[in-house]
Amino acid sequence: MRKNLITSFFFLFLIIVTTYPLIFKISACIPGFFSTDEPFGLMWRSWQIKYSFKNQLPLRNTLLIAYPYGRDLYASGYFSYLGDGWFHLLSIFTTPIITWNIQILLNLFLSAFFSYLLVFYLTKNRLSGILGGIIFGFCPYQFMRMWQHLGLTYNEWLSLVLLGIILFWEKQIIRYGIFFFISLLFLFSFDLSVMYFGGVTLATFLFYILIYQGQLKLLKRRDLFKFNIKFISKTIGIILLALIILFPQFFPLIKGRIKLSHTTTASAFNPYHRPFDDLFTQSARPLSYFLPPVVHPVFGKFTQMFIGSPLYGVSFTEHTLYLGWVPLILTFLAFRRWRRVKKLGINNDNYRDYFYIGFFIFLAIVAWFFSQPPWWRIGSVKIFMPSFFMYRILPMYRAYCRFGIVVMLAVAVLSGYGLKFLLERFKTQKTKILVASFFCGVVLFEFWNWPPFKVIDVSKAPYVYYWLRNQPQEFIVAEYPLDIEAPNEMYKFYQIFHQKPIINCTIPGTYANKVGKAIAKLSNPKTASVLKWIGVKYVLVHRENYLKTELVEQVEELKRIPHNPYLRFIKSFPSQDCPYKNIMCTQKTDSIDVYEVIAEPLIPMVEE
Amino acid sequence: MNKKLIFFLGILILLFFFLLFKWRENTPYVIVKDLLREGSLEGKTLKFYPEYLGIIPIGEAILKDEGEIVYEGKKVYLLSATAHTHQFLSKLFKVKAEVKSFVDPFNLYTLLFLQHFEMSNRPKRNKKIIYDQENNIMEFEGVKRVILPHTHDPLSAIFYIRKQEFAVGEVFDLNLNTNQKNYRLLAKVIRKEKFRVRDKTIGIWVLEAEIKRRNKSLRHSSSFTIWFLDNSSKTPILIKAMTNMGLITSRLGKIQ
Repeated sequence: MRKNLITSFFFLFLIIVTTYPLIFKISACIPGFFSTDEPFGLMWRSWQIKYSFKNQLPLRNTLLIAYPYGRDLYASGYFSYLGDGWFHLLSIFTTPIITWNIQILLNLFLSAFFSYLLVFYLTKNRLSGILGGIIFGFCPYQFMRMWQHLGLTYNEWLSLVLLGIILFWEKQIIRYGIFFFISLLFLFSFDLSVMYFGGVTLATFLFYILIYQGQLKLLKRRDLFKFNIKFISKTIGIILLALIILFPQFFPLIKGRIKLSHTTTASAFNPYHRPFDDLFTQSARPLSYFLPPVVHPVFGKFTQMFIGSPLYGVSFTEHTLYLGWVPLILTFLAFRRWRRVKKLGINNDNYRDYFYIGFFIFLAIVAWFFSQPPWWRIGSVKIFMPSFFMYRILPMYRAYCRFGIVVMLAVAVLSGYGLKFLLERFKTQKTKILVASFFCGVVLFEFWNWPPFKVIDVSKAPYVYYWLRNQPQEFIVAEYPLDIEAPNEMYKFYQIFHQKPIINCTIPGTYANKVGKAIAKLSNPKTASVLKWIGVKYVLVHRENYLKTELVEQVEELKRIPHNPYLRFIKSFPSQDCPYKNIMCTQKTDSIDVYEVIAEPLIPMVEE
Repeated sequence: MNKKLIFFLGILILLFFFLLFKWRENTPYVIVKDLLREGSLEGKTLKFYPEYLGIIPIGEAILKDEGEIVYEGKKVYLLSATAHTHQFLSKLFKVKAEVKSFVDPFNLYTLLFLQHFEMSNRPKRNKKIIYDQENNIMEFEGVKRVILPHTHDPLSAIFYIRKQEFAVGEVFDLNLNTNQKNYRLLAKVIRKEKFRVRDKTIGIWVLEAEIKRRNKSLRHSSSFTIWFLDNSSKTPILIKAMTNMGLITSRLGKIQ
């Protein structure tokens, strides 16, 4: 227990160092990098929960965005008791920044700690456990997700559920059954992707037992055969029980899947039907697993050159699946031992290691296949991969490269075994600790991500939003260019500071979005009239957003806006920079012009 | 065990000699020596042999300086390039590309860019991009985009550089437009090499360049190094480009 506590502190120390300077600016900064604006949408959600709670506004159908039509924030109908409950509690009792940071840091810690427990339990070697914890908890995938997708940082449940099923497999007692059941409740409650990965991992374990049994010709031994069948039945029973308990939260999803998956158009905003082509762009590529992350201070530039190529993939985030060369070498050591045992014969001493190493090799292969595109094309021959078939069952899932985290978990465990076998060659504990520390250090260097620091100061917004907040009376705000192709998460985020309803952040395909399309051209006098009808008083024009499209149409539109007779120019807010050179911030902006709408109101003529 | 080790060592030695041969083949000295054996070092048609990582042959690329022509009643300079994967690779993965750049004969900026592209299992694509250099606008499929003053396409950019006076440390800062996006091409002459081949002294200019998005996006960037002959047309004899597929080395094999 004492040693586990020391290990926990060691992981906490590593978290402080690897996320530096986050812990010292925990109420002002969040972890983040240059490539995304997704965290801002979720931080807005956290603010919206508290704001709605305080002001007795609806939590689900909010009018704060997409005004005056509003938006259903639970359009899929999915609400997880544990996951969403936890998020709501944090949102109500803390600030959006703290809500975000608590989840991120806790997930990072638990990912490392649970995988440490898993590897330690399997290898019976604490040093191996620590290395396993570092590999899984601090791998580049975890950091990339931490900077972009909060839900996908809940990877700790993968280690926990594996530990649960392994304990239950070894001893089918009530205590372990309950432990496995609770780990399942967690797995099924926080993120649907993580739940999917966990589901495939568990299915692989059960399937492996059957293969292993066949391999050892245990069918001839009725007692072992019965034991395994009994275990599989009990396990399926526990999984079903967890699913039954959580059924009400999944029911709307299942209903939507049956009703809407094949009757609606596939789109990035359709929670039941994602475009099939996305499976190709969001699948792992040969180099995704082997090239260091682009954020690595030494090797990152090399990887940067491969971004967008068919060998690596298009995304900074999705294709960061780096396993690390040192973990791969240690995995190879474990594999070599496994092969030797297979050759020389299994006995009571090596049976346990042989079984689990075999399983994690099998899991790595299965997860790797799952992370592949729907098919490989060699000349005119198509070889179909699991994602092709799974899309028929789950058309709502498209980012199969995320199965890379399951490969990582398998590699973390196998590396633990590799280190254990390597340490067996050394006699003294001191040497063992020295060797293990060396490997931990090299792995941490491989996974390193700063400088520059990967934190964003989100405590301040550009001046214009404070000015808006101080304007008397209630009114609506419109931010231009209008985000009619996809919701602009920054427009949402800035609402935290000005707290006025906005017409932005509509979802394509909705009536609000159709109205948005009709008033996309601000230079058109009719647009000003419709804005007046909506209740918009101030329009914010982000000049640079028009210019960076490089489209002549947009540049011309920007030039025409000041000539709209129904808009009165109020003032222009100059561009702003971040206060600290090496820390990104949300305060940074290009110049923003403010106009007041002075038109007569006009009802928009848009067909439903 | 010993047999395995000997086999493994044998493979390693073979690989070492193959890499050594490939490395030597892609040196300016050997390229010039081979070109001199074929004939002159001057010519309007240049045939390159691109290799992936400088080892795996990909196909052929031909650059042509077609000279001045009259296009739609206007005098222009025509540059063209064709490239295709070689026969064996084409069975697995076929690529064929043809580009034409119509350049202003006086200041060498692009006026029109034509591109034809074929790839296995993909529909053929034809592109016609019109550059209005006076108004800083390019037009593709009816969509107009803003370009920066004096914009080049990749072909005309190299041609422009070849027409300049070189000196070590000389920097060329060009506006480049490719795939409908604006880039900055920053090239620098880093050194001059000299060697003797067949009793002739050959001078080589080495130029390093970096291409980056003007909007500072890290997503699209690449770099390349070109070895130019120190002759009147500054013939490029070796190009090493770091693309998002990895290193591509193109060696000049023939001049006509």
